[in-house]
Amino acid sequence: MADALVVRDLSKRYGDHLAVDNVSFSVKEGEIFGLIGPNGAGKTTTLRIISTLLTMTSGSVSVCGNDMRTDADGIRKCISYLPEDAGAYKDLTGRSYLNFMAGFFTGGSDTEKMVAKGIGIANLGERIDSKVSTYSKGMMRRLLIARAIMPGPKLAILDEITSGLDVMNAFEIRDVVRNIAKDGVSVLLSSHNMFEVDQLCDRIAMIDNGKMILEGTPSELKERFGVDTVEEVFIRAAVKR
Amino acid sequence: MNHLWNLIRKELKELLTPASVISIIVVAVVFASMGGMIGSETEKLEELPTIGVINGDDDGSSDYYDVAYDYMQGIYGSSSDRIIGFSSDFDDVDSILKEMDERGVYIVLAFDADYSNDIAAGGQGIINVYWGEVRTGAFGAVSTYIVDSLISGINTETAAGIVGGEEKLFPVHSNNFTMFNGKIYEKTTPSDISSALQSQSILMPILIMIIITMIGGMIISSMGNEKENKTLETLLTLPVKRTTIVSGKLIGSAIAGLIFGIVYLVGMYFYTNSMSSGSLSLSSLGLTLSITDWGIVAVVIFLAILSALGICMILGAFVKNYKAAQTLTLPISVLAMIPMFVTMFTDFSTLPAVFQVILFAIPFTHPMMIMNNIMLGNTLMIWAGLGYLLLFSMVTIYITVRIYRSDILLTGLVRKKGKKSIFSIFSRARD
Repeated sequence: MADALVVRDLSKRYGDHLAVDNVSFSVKEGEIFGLIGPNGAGKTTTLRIISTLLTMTSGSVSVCGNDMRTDADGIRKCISYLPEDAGAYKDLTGRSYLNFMAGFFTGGSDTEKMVAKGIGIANLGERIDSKVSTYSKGMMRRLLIARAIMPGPKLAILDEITSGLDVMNAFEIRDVVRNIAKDGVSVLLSSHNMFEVDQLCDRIAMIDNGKMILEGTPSELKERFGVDTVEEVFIRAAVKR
Repeated sequence: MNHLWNLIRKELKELLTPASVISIIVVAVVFASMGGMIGSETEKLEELPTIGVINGDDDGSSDYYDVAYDYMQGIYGSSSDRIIGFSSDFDDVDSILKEMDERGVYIVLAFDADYSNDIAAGGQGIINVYWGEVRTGAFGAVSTYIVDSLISGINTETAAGIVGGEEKLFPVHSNNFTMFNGKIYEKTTPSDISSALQSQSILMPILIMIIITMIGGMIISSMGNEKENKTLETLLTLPVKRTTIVSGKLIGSAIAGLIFGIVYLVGMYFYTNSMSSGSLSLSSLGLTLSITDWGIVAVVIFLAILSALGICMILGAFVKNYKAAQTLTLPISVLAMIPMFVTMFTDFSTLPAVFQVILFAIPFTHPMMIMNNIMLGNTLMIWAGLGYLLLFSMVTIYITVRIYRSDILLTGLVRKKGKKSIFSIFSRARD
């Protein structure tokens, strides 16, 4: 399988603080790749750089063959980014929000098809025509997942997708992520939920203090540390540092 | 008590941010300077104006001229050196205006040749009052009331001194001749002209201030909301050029601003019309705008709105959330209020040079003065203002686009070796 994302020696400096320090990894087509690490480790900064929101200090990022430094527009055409705790425009209904977003990717009858796809993913029933301001956190997250997936990105970048959601909503959203990966969409996610990472990801990488300290499949890592869960891998790796 | 102190400290830390403190200090400084500016105007008005007097009353007795002159000297008291005898003939308007110009005198009272004879015969003595070029601004009409009061006093004094004649309440009549925009208007006082100009001198500054403050608040709050909800992050990762995102925000807000502006304009037009009924109309003063003039007015207002939006988007880039956005609307309101008050109360051309430069540098001054400038033919101010606004709006939009292409929009100013620099937007930008 070809690489959808290749990150090489990526560094990001905020003034005197080195937030990301020579991080390298790649994500294959249809693969779910998880970034884990403590708060402030550099996960969100890494995701924001790959999403073209932040500039990198050094290194290289290539998404679907588009180089970040020379073709950020090309990258935006094949990614979808969902920030942690993101919201939508509160005066719009769920349907009009999806319609608004679809307009950036396609036009005419294709827009309707894309919106119909989004409505299907969001699975909000009649509430799709309610104002976004009346949505619960779970409903909002489903709408935003639908927004991120409906354009058919090659790489979906999802930051803490189930943070703060109840068991049912989290379960459904993980299911959506699994299904898009089956359709060939590559997924790069960050999460503090080790159970979720274990369940969802084909491979994971741990970042601490901006450095990548381990990488592998969940079973490889569990075997390497001689433990049963990714959570224990996390703790052992953190303590070892 | 310790809990209370902790809570108070928390509130103070949240409310007294550097942005809010700086804004309030700026407001205080601005109001202090404005007070000085308006104060100097009111001081001028509190002084009795220098008056030129022409005694044409030389056909026979001039007793009643002496009554009037003595009365004026009594009123001026120790300032009676401000009553200056003019050598021009009382009916030679050109000569009077020339002498006014040469001597720097704004008001001349010219007593008619038959002034005393007419009063003695039971008629009315005529005083022609000549006014120099009318100033715009709310204080432009005040000198009218001073002269009205003088004439009224002369009437009273003269009536009391009439001997052997029929009792007459108003033995003196005044005719006003006012210079405005290079022309002399008969039976017109500066007050009449000020009233006619009221819609331009007062309506426009208020209207522009309201529009700027409103759309400024709207766009900064909108950016605060976008950041808080992270909709801005989503927007910036869509396959859309940053210039398109900036343009969309600017044009959308500019259209909203224009719509609000038109609604306010219509409302205030009816309001001022109802307030100034019976006064001179602008057309009677030859002050009308052609279609081209209206086009210039529209362009200047549009550029001012664009400049305001540019400033607001730059400020909005540093806003972290909706709450922080509220404090950052203050600078834009102040920038709109300064020229509003100044142009309402004073005439730009009479201000000291330093204040003129400051006012000129504020982009919102130009739409507030544009109609008066066009009507009064201040060509240099019109084109200089237009050029400045164009440059200002371009620069602010350019900076906004650079900010949208930089990290600052998401990270704010990053401290580097103890210093924060906005200039990083010019070195770390991307397409």
